[in-house]
Amino acid sequence: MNSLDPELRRLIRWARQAPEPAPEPPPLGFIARVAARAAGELPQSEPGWWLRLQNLALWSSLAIVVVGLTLATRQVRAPATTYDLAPAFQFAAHTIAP
Amino acid sequence: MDFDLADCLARVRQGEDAAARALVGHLYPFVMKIVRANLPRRADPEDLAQDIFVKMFSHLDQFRGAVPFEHWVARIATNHCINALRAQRIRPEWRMADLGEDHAGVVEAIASDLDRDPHPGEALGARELLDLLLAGLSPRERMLIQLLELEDRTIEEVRQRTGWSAVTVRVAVFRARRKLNRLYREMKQQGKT
Repeated sequence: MNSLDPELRRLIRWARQAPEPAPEPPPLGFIARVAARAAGELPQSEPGWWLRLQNLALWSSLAIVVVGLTLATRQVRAPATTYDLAPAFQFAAHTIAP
Repeated sequence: MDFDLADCLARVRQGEDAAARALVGHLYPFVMKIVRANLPRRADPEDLAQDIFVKMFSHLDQFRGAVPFEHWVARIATNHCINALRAQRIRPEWRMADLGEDHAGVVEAIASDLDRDPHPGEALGARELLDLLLAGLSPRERMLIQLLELEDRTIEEVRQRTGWSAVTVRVAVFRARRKLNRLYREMKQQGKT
């Protein structure tokens, strides 16, 4: 492996003897800030699959309600058909299957 | 009182806020040491540490206990610092004129005296000088020199810390040393002119 210049190696040896800064405690409010940011990241007590299932059920129910309402509205507002089948039904009821 | 890391992690995983706070308090000096060793210029060490802790919490479910927890956190911290350095894309071009008299004195001393120990001031000057040289390396190279030469870690420890293969580490170290040698020669050359 390529080795360092002897002078550079000495520089590193000297640099290693520089005093290390003392271990510092977290500054005031640091833990609270991290906790606030990480709140969304912390694992939830409920399992993820259960939450996903709940969400799926909720959105499915809403979709069914919306589709149902749309269809009902369309039926109510739909114009009457141009073909009046009532006489045909009457004919069938009286002559074919009395 | 001893800190029970396993118990604390179990409580963090259950979503206990107090345990998460205790974990941050416990790891803060360790994370700050890594941040300060790899600090990008103009970056706020506290902001970097905060990002690292948030990342740690968000990936906690991926920690399987195959390596000690501190190693796992160190990997997150190191990679985060490297990414921050890359984002800055700074390769400062220093000049001999940037160096103070103390630094020039250190250069002269290490070139002349072979085996003496430095005075406290010289050790600090050497550290600053080395930081200037390291700033000329890529973030990866800088981190490798920091771990292998300054912290005296083994290739295996570096491999664990970075997640790279042993071959990748060896090749990168080879390049880093060659580049550092070149930077040192250039610095001395500029000092003579």
